[in-house]
Amino acid sequence: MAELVIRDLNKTYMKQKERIHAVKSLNLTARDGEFIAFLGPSGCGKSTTLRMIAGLEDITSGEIEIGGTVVNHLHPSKRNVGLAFENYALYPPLTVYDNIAFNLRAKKMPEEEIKREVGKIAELLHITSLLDMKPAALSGGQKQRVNIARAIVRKPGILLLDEPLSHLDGKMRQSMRTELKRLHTEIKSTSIIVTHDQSEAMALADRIAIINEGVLQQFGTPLEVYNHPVNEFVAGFIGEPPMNLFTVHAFTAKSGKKMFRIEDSLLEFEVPAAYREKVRDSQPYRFGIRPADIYIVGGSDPHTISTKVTIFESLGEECRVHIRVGETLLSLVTGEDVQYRTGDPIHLLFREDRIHLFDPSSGNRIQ
Amino acid sequence: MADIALKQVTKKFKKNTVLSGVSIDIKDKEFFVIFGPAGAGKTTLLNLIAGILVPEEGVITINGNVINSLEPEHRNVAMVFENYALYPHLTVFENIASPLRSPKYRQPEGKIRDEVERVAKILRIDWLLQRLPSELSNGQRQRVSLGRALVRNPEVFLMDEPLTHLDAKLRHQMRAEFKEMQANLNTTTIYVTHDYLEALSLADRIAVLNQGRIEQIGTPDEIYYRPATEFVAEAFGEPEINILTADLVSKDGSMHLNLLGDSDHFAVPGRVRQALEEHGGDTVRAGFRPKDIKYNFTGDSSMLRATVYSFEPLGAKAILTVQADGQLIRLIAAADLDAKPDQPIYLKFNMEEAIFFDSGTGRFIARAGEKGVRSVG
Repeated sequence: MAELVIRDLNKTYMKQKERIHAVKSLNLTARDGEFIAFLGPSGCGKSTTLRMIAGLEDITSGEIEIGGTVVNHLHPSKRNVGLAFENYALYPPLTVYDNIAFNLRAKKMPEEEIKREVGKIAELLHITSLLDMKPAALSGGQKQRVNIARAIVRKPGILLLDEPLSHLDGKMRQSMRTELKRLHTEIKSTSIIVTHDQSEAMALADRIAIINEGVLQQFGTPLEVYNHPVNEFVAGFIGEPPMNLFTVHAFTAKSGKKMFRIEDSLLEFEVPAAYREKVRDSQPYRFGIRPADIYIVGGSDPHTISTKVTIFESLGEECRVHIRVGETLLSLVTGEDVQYRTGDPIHLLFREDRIHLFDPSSGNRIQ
Repeated sequence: MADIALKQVTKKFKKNTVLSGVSIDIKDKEFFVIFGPAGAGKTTLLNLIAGILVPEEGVITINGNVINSLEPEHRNVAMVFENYALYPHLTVFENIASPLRSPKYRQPEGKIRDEVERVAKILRIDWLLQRLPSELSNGQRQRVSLGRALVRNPEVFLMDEPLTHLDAKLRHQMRAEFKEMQANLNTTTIYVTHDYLEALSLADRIAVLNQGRIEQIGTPDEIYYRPATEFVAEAFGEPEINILTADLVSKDGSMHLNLLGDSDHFAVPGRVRQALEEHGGDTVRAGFRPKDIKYNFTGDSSMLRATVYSFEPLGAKAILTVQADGQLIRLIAAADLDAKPDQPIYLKFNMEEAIFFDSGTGRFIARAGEKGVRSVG
């Protein structure tokens, strides 16, 4: 178990005569025992960062420190990290037992001790009954368990997981995710998971580092990044169904009230109190509200918008109502027992403390 | 106008039976979803209706006429594929018009313009007609691809996972967009998917396929609330339904479940009791949707004790997995719940919403609530 400190980390390389700056001045600390997710779209630099931590990729500039030791120039095997990759890469001729034992044998651990260690890990990952099988006989989920067992049996200071769930089908992914979360509470090893799936990052991580185009956007707990996204990118990336994001224009109504009008629509509502002093008339803003933060109310007032249901979906666990606004849809989630039909009049209230406002040019949150 | 029927259709590839004894009646203008996991036989079924494949056994009819060996081009069906396959060098207008310029459907230019504009209006892409596919969003591209199928005025639309390759966020929006368009299509549509949300959202009726056999055909409510088998129950809903084995015991004159090592907290509702008694047997499988199990940390005598196994926040809500009697149970919880591993937690199962299955066959026996009961008429 160890702390991970990343200081001013950069990675550049040449691709078709073009210099790519894949990781830009990354600073980040994973505390001892913490579960951290690197989250971002493909090509954002998250895997490159993981590979630099593992020692599989050269560091262009900056420092990586594991357990108080700068590891920049250490061989991967000397870095005290355990790796589990997306593709399992188990040794096909070896049994599950021998696959897990492989690294311990390389370290010349006595067979008796190996037996004890493998047995313990196998129990933790629910693969005891698979120990005599060959990888070819295993399902995807089972292979991934063995893969993770092999990474943690060495008791690494830091466990590195590169998209460990993305090859699994929906159900298996869900149960494996639950198991992974449980596993972390049991082994308490500092862990870094790389993923492009925001729900995976939310479910597993103590803190999430959201990366886009090589730049760290926000580093916070799941609730922080969900409730207080620092910019429009994070706002749109976190959450499912995704946050509704619209351009609104501010104006002062005849009544003297500050109002927002949603672009390409006649939908208007009063500017929330927290923003009244900050918005200026005829300026555009990016307005965000999550589908779960819109209420359907009985009547209209200046805070509500009155409109009609475009689409209603009944999805078992919940229902969704969609309202057409120009080229996009405004979506909200409701409890299951309310049924609507297309064309039904409806009054919506945006939960005031859950409204997000972003600067349209920088994308940054307006506080 | 097109009613489609399959009667006892079987399809084999060499010795491998891909579909066996499939019977489906699809009504005119119905939006019919074929749902199943990968390898269930969904696309094979679609290809049989399209005429790309011929069944070994059984009969396929359109409006009562047997079409088993009718060539695809003589069936008035239009296929929409997962990938849009638009001509990149042609405008939206020309892409939509392309079927009307083929030798088989050739139309005069004036007619073509009218048709393309009519279809473009339905799909809300009439303002994009002069653009190239590369200038469109994914959603717009998909609408163009639909437009190209729609312009032929087919009797039947066949759609093979049209939303599958979109990422989760886009899929949410596209599904709603699709549903909006669907209201204007007014054409019998057969839609293949492995995504249960698409099936519930879009379908008038759903056929659930598993390993080449029909598990159930029903409305979304029937499928969700009265699943014919455990397979269907597990395929619809996320997190997955909890299905647990229970003994039936008699207690103070009423029927209880002995479930999770406890028989105090699971009184069987009267209506279900009757069905279970008629069905017979001492054990049963009881299914509880995650949202039908309530929890708190203080507990009272009406609640079952468990411990927290793991907690997965997802933003608006969280998946809380608890352990009781060695079994894992999934619940839906608030995202800001402070749940520590191995902490005691108390559960209340809503027996009115429980779904009962035969412990041997996994087939539906009963459910207390009225939801999903087909209304007469």
